[in-house]
Amino acid sequence: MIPIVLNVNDVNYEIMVNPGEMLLDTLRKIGFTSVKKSCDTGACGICSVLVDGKVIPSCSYFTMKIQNKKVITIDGVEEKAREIGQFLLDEGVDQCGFCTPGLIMSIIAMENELNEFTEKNIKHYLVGNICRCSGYEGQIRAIKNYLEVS
Amino acid sequence: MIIKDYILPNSLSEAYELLKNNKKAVIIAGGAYLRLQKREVSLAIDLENLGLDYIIEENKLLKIGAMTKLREIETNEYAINELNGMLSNMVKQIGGVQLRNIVTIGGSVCGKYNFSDILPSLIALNASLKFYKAGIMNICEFMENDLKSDILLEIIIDLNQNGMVKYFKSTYKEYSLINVAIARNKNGFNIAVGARPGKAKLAKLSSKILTTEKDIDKACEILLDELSFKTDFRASDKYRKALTKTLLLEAYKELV
Ligand SMILES: Cc1cc2nc3c(=O)[nH]c(=O)nc-3n(C[C@H](O)[C@H](O)[C@H](O)COP(=O)(O)OP(=O)(O)OC[C@H]3O[C@@H](n4cnc5c(N)ncnc54)[C@H](O)[C@@H]3O)c2cc1C
Repeated sequence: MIPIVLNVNDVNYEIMVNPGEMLLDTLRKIGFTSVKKSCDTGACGICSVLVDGKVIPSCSYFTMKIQNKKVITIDGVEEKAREIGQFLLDEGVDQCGFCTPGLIMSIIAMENELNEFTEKNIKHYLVGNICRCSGYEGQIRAIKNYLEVS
Repeated sequence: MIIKDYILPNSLSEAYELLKNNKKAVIIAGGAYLRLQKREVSLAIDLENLGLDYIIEENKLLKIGAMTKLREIETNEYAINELNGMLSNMVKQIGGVQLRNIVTIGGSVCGKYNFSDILPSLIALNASLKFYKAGIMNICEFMENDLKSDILLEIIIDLNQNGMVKYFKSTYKEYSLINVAIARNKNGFNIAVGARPGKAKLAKLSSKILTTEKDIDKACEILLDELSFKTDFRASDKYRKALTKTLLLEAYKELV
């Protein structure tokens, strides 16, 4: 085990990790169970968190890389998550809810990164967030409503 | 993957010494592909802290640090504006934005993946690779040889040429069923095809005979003969050949 300092949502955690541990497992171990595990190969987007503002699949990111970086999970953006969540609810695309935290983190990253929100841009940015309740049309409507684009 | 020890060296010389002195050590770039392998690693040497994350242009040469993430390439002004956007296009359907914020160009080159969307373009563009020990090596030479205890530092691309890449994916971010890259420099054309599914290769004969549009059918015929196409669970060899023909024609037309 190796001692590290992990900064999550602006709080420092002094913890011991296995050398090959992935950020997703570390986050869940210290209580951030809002970060869900699904494909565990970097393909589904469900475990998305922000590292220094960039959205990444935490399942595919070695925890050892994280020193001096800042992690934000959905717990750290509660107000914004509620706001986006309401738009998803309004379109009835929360459904089982398992992919929602990861999707919301990606929407937040997209909002910060892109200048223009065309349907093409939105789809290109969010194609890495998979939903198995088949909510894509509704999701796009909800996201456009949230971003106030037609 | 089981890792016994994990080090993030602060200098290249330290990274190289660790690599040279530990036969079972492995270099970690993004780590996204490596972690999927079932193996035990005595020492992981992570290149994150070595300042290899950059894209700079110098006298019409584009230098991309090995640890540059694919998303940075996708959104880089040179990658978008030079070479018909070929460098941005080659990476933009590799996984989602999330994955591209992790995976690196260095890992994509050194992995020599059969499905690579990156190698065909770099081969067509005749990229040079800069290694810590071996120095500068042409990408085709690298593809033919094993990488022995060395660290890729940089990928160098001559912007005094033109390029185009076309690939076909059954869904937006699936692995490509075929990837066709073409570049034109002062000496003529270079065509490379990957995900056939074998390792990306330069189609030497077909590149040589291509001079004007009237040669394109012939060039394509020769290409289908000189490179191997295989059937796997993603597509048949026949389907891949048909796609190659269409994509090469499209790429050529858009290029010239
Ligand atoms: C879910 C998923 C989907 C993908 N889809 C595609 C796709 O559609 N198309 C595509 O082209 N690719 C795809 N990839 C591959 C991806 O683009 C990267 O090429 C791959 O993840 C390797 O990059 P990495 O930074 O993760 O490297 P790592 O996994 O860290 O390393 C890969 C290999 O290269 C070695 N290495 C890395 N850097 C260096 C260096 N500087 N010097 C010497 N050796 C080095 C490592 O030791 C290792 O053997 C996908 C990957 C995943 C996980």
